[in-house]
Amino acid sequence: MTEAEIIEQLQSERGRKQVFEYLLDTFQKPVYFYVRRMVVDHDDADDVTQQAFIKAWKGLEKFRGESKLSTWLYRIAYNESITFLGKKNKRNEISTEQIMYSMPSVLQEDALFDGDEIEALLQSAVATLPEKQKAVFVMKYYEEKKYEEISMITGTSVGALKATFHIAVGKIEQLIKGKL
Amino acid sequence: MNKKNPFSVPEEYFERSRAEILSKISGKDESVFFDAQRKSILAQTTEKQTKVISIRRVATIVAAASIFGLGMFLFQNGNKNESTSFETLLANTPISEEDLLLEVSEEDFVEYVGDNIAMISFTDNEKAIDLNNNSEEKIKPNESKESPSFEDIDEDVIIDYLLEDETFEIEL
Repeated sequence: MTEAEIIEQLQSERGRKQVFEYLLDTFQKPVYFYVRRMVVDHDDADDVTQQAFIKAWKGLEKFRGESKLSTWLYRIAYNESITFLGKKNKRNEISTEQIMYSMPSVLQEDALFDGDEIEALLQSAVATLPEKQKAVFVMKYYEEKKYEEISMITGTSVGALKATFHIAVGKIEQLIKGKL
Repeated sequence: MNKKNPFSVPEEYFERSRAEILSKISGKDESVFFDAQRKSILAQTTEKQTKVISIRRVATIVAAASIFGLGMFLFQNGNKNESTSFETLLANTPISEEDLLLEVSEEDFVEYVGDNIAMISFTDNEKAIDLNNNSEEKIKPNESKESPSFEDIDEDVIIDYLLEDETFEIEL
């Protein structure tokens, strides 16, 4: 489905449903795994992903094609993840030391985590980052998105994104070195 | 997802999640169904309670009228003939045995009033619970949220606030 066809389809309710099903078919998995890397826990990722798609459905009528549909959807998922993590962090304030101490073993015991010890350490270090740094790191390192696309998703300038990624990588390296 | 993905998901998760999302957007969410079912049960319960109260009310009126009638009969007969036996009085009384059984005691009256009050409280509580459980409310903007001033507002708050606002159109 091309972007032009999508815009055409959005004019009718039936068309919007078809576009939404296309979104689900194409982006459900990538969006889920993006959210999962952000929030780590499967149940949380499930909730946030569903919420993102429901918001996408509600906003689909207003989509005007000013960006790619996938970028628009990622932006919703990004905002949902940031909001979720912000609320969660307000409820449970856990220090970086606590995360680096307990999270690797928790991850390795998780039936839905297939990584080794190093991978568990990396995920734990990523979990200590502030929400926006984490989002940028996940999109750049794991998803290998271009800065321009991340800029459209996050609404942050490319320069600021490069600096954010650089800082995030530095923090992660330090934390992992401290544990090895 | 070009790097090795350490996270996995339960089998058939995506299929199930897809079905859940589609049912939610089409208004066929199970929670909505159960909410409707609960409202129906509540309506039936309230209707039954109203019927019981109506029967009690009729019975109370009939009993009160019967007692009044018996009193009048005794008063009139008492004036006419002092020597009428109780059996004779009972034989001539217009009150049937069924009516006598409907005589209202103080306990019945208290129970009747109590039931009315209980029914009103029950209905109000259910309305409150219904509002709390309304899943649509959770994804509507929080209208009670205070608008922060521009001096102390930060970017996160602005993003959160705009995302909660369904009238806000995302421009990329």
